[in-house]
Amino acid sequence: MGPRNSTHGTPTTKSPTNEGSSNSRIRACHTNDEWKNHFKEHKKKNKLVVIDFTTAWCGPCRSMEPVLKELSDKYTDVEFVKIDMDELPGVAAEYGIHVLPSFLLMKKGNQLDKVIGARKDELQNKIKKHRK
Amino acid sequence: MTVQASASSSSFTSFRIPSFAVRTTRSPQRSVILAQVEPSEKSVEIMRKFSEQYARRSGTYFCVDKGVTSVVIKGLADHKDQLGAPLCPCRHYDDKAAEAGQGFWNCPCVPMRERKECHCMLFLTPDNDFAGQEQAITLEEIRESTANI
Repeated sequence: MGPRNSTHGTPTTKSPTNEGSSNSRIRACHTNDEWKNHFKEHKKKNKLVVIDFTTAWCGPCRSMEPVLKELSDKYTDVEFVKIDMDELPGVAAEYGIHVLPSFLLMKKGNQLDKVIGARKDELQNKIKKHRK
Repeated sequence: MTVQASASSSSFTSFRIPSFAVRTTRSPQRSVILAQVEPSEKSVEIMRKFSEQYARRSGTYFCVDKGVTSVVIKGLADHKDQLGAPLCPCRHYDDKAAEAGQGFWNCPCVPMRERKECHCMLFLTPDNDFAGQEQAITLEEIRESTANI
């Protein structure tokens, strides 16, 4: 099962059928293998990756969905990945994520920054700062 | 954290959950399956009423985007179904059952009770940019705004 593109239109990743938009740049990782493969690829590139940690029933996560879509359309040199914490709890533990939503900014496998909570401006500013 | 949780007392007594109602052993695999099940209508209604009452009691307001409110109410209902307690759905826990038993993040959580801080955006103080003007939400509104989830 390879990585799939997500519509990011709903805060859930119940099944592949819930994701269908071909123009979304937000990649949803549903399994540990998907995440590991993505991480392996990412480490080879000098490209900023924003990881969105979310769950199905998190209100503020939902409010950030259109924001993330907007940012992913605007910053096409940045990769966006979505991880549902209920699907991949191990990844959450690995990065010490507790508050949702949280956004991790990484390059070459290294964590550069973190945004905790639905803070649109802070996220945008940090993307601008780290994308070059 | 433990000290704070046990020392604080909730003013919303009707939502205290007896400890025997909290399941203490659940496999991670089961958590994954249950997390994707629609919460029961009964729990959604309980949490809807609780949210309205607690907003009025605490002088807080729902988010201007009721979709946010609806998702959180359903998340609380989902945890009530799964764990026996309305554990905050806007956090990640290594052990949900243990957290529900401990009580710190059961809604209304300790930061909300003590400082009116709800990072889930369910209860917003009037000075919050996202605060609307309502302290009421209907079951219909919840259904409509979460229909595609």
